[in-house]
Amino acid sequence: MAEPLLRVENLKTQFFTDAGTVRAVDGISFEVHEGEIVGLVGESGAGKSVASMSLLRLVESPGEIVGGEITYKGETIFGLEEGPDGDLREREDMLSNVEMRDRIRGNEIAVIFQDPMESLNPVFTVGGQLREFIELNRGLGKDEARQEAIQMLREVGIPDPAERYHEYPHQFSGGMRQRVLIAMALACEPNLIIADEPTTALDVTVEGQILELVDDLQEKYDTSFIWVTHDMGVVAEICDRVNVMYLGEIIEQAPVDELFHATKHPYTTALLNSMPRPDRTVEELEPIEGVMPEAITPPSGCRFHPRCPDAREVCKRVHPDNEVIEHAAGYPHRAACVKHDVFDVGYDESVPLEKEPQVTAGTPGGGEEQ
Amino acid sequence: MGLLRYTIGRLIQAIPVLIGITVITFILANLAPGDPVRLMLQGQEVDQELIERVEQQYGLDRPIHERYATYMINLLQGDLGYSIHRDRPVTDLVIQRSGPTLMLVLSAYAFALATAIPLGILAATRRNEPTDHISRIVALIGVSTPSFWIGIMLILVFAIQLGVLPSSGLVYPWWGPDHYGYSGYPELIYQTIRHLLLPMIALGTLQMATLMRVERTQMIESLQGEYVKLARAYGVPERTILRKHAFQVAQLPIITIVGLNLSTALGGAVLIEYVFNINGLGRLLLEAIIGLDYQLIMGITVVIGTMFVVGVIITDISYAYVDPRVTYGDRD
Amino acid sequence: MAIGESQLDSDGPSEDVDAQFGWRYTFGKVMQDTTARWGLYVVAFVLLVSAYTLIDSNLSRLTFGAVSDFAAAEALPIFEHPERIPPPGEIDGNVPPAFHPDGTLSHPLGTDPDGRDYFTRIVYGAQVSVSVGIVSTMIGFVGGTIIGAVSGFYGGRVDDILMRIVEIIYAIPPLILIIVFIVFVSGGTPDIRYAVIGVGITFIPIFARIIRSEVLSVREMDYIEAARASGVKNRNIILRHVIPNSFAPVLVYASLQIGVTILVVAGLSFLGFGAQPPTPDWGQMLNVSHGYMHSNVWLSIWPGVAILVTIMGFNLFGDGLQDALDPRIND
Repeated sequence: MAEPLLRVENLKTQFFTDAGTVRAVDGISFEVHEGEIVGLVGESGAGKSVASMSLLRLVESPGEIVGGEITYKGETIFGLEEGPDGDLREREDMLSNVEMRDRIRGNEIAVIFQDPMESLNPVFTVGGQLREFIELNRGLGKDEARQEAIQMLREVGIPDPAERYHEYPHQFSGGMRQRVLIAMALACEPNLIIADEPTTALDVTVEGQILELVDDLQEKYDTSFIWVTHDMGVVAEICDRVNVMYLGEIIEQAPVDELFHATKHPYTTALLNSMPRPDRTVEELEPIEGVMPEAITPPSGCRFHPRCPDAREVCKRVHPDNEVIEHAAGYPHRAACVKHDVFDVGYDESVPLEKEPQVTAGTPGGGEEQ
Repeated sequence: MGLLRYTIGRLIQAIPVLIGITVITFILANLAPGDPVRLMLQGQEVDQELIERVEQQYGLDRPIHERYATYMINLLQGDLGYSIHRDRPVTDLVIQRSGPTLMLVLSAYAFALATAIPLGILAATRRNEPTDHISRIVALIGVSTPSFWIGIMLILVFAIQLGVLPSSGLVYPWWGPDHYGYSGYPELIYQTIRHLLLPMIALGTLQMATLMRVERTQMIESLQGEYVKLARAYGVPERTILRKHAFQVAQLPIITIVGLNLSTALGGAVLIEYVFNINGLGRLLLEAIIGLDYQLIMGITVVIGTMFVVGVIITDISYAYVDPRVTYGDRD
Repeated sequence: MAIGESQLDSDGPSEDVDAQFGWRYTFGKVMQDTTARWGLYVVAFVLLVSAYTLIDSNLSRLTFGAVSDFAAAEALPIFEHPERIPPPGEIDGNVPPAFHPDGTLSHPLGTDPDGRDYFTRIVYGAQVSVSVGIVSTMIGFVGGTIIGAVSGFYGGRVDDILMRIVEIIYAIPPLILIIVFIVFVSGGTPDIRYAVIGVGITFIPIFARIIRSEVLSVREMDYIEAARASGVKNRNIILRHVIPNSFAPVLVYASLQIGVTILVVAGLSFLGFGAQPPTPDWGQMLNVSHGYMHSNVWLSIWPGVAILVTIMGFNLFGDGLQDALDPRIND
């Protein structure tokens, strides 16, 4: 297989707060190949956004990348080595901050943020902002950049782009603003776009339009995407391969069809069961029990065990890595659950855990008292 | 187009406020106990004939609403009444004394903005570092110190002890170099600045301190905005983010506060004019009060109130100019 | 009615508010903040000093007592109660402070041109400034609370009219409005009482605006709806539910406003519209010393330092209180 566009290995990002160290991203590994859309799925608080900002080295204080390696097109975005005094230090070949800014951010890896309302600067025209990023990342002159910006606005389906170029963000609807942000990302001609929940703030019909647009444009420009979302429906619609995150870890990694049809991790199963589908009624939805614990004090063993229907005594003790369970479509299918044979830690002999009564978030249907 | 409509709307809104100012001033002037004419002429030999003549001249023998109507009609024609002690129309006096006050207040603002904005940004970017703590202390002292005492201390140090700057009066550049016997415009400008320096700092310190803190808070907030994250993610250099992306948004509240604080500055000008012997509206007010010069006091109050209202309108319009959301009416 | 009200009391959010904004909780928060703690110390110190001057009846009788005692009070040096009161001319004016070569320890800050001990006068100034600051703020606070609550609660035309008036008063710079008020109301013979009332009235609009916006948000709460529905009189709703629940931000503002008030009153006294001689007021002392700037520098320094320290104390305390009560604004 060809060298991946982006390789993330054992990435760890932590936040050093007064209350303690929050291990927001705790050793995740994944790859993105050219031309594919890779999903990063999980509940809010799973560390998806921190992970994606880590890729650009834009984690904000008090957060810090503390370990792992990020390689983009053979260049080291982040990497540590052991120094002569035994301490870890940044590797010689790691890109400097200036290089990150001038060469990587925008022109190689672009982002689309979650909130189209807040992401555009309210006091500058939409066109002006677009043009600035194009000038900066493609080295075009003012006029060329303007032409390009208008062209890009047309491309993402904004009517009268030449006129709307001069308008301010508050004159655009939410969907239109998200289109502008997509135009921004594409206009810089990056090889990888990180889309951080770009459709979450939009209503469903607009979301559909945006997903369709991205699909078309992705085909046309052959850009790779990392698609961060909590919505399995979006994943099914757009992603080629998926990483499911839980409490800072990737607990399942598979091509999209495998993930949906040969699910290997109970958490993924739970996510899928909680997703509204046309073939199920509301009563049949199964919300995931409990709430995700704080990343500051993760549960022992498997982090999902307190909420897991399949949890056994062994799950409290053994912390499973994300191991290859099988291969499918040329990609490995990984899962971090000891119930699979590769782990061989005695799951089958272990006693099932007594379910402690847990507070469940309000369920549709209600009436859970037994 | 949007801006022009907004401006006109703002001016129309100001009319009731301006009328209100005259009403309040008029009510206050009629609160005085006893016979206003006797109070006005206190200390002088009073004969009945004089009192009657003055009463008639001021229309004091007529009911209050009639007097107010007359006052307003005259006001609309630019006539603020007549100063009995100075034997001159109030309008003339007020116009003559407005220049120094405006010069003082505007220069104080220039000083405050020129220092507060860079210092506020510096404090914001070095949050919780020594620079930030020092700026906090400076701001705290700035808002806690009476401006007139700052003036006194500045005079003590720079005029009396060091003898490098003048302690009283201003030089008004519009009178030209010949009026002061200066060699030419360069010396005129030099002297203007020299005279303005101390009162400007004394009046501007409070504004500087307030604006510095606001600037800091706003910059911190703005730097945490999603649009700043976006700019960073697109490789915009930190300097540009600071100077353009974050700065522009952070300036919006500053503009509003500059307008609202104008009332503190205009009030403070009275004190500073007193300390530095500047012949502005404030000193005129104090002089008018000594003689209980009713119409002059009222005239000055109305003019200063108007200055404030106009100032706020100007800042509102600049706000609308900077923030495109205002003119379209979808800002809450 | 009684039943309705007592029920509402238990339904209202007052318990939650107590849990979050209780006095002990607030005090604890304030004490956690270093600057606020220092502010509290300074305020406490100034309050103690001014309280002392009230307790020491001998001193205060001599300084503030019957008019016939003024001559005595004027001549009184600090803390050494004289056997006899020196007649004018015998007193020693303009003694420099203790650290000056010509100074004496009996007058640590020297004497003023009339021979009165400057330290005593500074100490008495605390009482004047603090009481004036607090009383004026109270007037603004109470007046503003009533107007703001009524305006916000009734809305509509009442609100329009009240807010227009507030806006107009706002348009005249406070210091000038107060001066004009004092001059006209007193008929040309200013007095500290007029200053206190004038300052208080002038600050009503500011308080009214704040409490109005609070009331507007409280008004929509369910428990107010419930009170209305069960027929509680508007006046009672305002007094028992709206005002208590809109209180915290206004209180914070009031604590910050005391500093501003002291500043304004000092300015008024400096111009001669506040405390009148022989009352030892810091602003008025600076007015006197203004004429001695070339000869007796120290006269201009001490009252200013006293004002600065006092106001700084109140500002620090107010800032800390704000941080403690409003976690949104944190530095």
